[in-house]
Amino acid sequence: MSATQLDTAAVSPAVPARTAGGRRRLPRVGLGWRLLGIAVVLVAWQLAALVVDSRGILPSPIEVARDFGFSFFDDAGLRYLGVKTPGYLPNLAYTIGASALAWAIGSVLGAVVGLLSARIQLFRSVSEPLFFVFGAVPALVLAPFFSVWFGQGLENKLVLVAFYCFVSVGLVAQSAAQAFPPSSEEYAATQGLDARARFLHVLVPGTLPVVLAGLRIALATAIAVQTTIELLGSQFGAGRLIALRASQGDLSSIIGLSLALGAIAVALDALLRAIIRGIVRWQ
Amino acid sequence: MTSTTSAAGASAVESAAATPAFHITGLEVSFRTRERTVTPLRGLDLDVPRGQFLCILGPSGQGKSTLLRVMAGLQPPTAGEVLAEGRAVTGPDANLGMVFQQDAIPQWLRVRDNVSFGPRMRGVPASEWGPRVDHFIEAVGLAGRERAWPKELSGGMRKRVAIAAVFANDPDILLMDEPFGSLDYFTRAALHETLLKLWAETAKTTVFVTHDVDEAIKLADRIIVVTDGRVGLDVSVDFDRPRGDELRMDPRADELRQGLLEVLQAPARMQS
Repeated sequence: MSATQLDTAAVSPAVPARTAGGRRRLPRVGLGWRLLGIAVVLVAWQLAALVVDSRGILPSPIEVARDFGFSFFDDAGLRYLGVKTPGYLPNLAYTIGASALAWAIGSVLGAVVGLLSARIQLFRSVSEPLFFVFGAVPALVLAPFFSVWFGQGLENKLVLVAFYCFVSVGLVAQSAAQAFPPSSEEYAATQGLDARARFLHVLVPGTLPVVLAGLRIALATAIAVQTTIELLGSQFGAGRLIALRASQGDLSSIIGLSLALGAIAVALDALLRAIIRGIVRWQ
Repeated sequence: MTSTTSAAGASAVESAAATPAFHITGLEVSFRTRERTVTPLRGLDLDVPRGQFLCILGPSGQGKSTLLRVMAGLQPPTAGEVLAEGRAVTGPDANLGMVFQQDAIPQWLRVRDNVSFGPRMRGVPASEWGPRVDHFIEAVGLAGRERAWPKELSGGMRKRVAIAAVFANDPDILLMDEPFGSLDYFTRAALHETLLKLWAETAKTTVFVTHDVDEAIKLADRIIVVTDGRVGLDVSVDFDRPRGDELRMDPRADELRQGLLEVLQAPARMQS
């Protein structure tokens, strides 16, 4: 019998009953069950709308879908109200595009600063007030300041959304680096890696799964903050349309746009999860 | 001129050979906790000749792992001098390879990338480390598993990766901190064989911390027991190699075991 055969059998990578932390994993819910859940909600909503029987209080899902489809590419009413791109599609694309750009910038900066702050005192001293003080201030409070500093255009929204992503990912990265086992970095040191090499080749890949999970939270944050500040004042975006429809009392359009934003966020999260699974396939 | 130069060269070689792998004098290590100051090592002296397989035994909390961490450059001494190969140990170094008790190998690297981690990161040419890496993967019994992720390996196999990696990095000194502590009997026995085979092949100075008396008797040329912050016992182990289970029935081995256990149990008795 060879020495290798004497070793305990290799752990199968196939769906472990428990995670490394000893927690039991929830069983995967099939697509069919998810679709059934959505169908149940839609049916309940339709029935509730029939009971209420008032489009102004609770429009039915069929009405919401019809209104959404009607305004999807172009809407004369929106054009009349001065919207330069009077359709849901271009405005949703603007909101999601701006969110994604700010998310990418803020997340990368947050990951770098968060990891560095766990190892270099100077970075910690500078970043912790941003993480813990300004990060706790609601976007609605900070938005006017950013408008004054960066103007009314895209820049102020980009900076504000990027800031919240920076804080969100930065805190996750800092916590991940602080919880990272010291023995892994000590092992690298005894293999001859200097501090820079240990940071790049041990700390960064070692904390990557946690930091990437933080990106998912930051993506949802980005869409939510972007939409919120568009509500406050913007030329474009889904938030701007929701604000206009709210002023008209058009509940159907508000629900349609909100659900569309949610659906896009879920789709982007699923895409991000698939990408993360590919990157950290060693886990 | 030539004869003078060669005489000087020969003298330097002899001097290097005479320099012990470790020369430790007056070593003291103190930690300050919130309530008090702990001093696990106080005035410890130790010489480790080159090529020796030294086992450090000791009860828990008596400073054996602290001693190993000081030797690895991972823990600065409070006082005293630690020389490795004649040079002061000021920090971790590729020449002071270490195998840790817990899984410390990068989980995001496949087996071959793990074994070649040190030389690759230090910029050693692939032509130099490639054959060495392949040799040690083969030597530890991981041939055919080069593309496996650590999570796909058992605990014993991950320990083999760590051993192959440290040998592939080619340090002069190998430090091992209870590396097989968490493994079952058969896996440990197999890893003892692997380690002794590689030690015999490479003649590296090896310092191995354990709390297992039988493991120390099986592996070591020499055993020291760290008690009360110093070397409490220092014995040579001169049984023929390879040492199998028959050593358990050997009266001399039994006498050594009893003597070691006596010293190891003394602090526990004092505490009780």
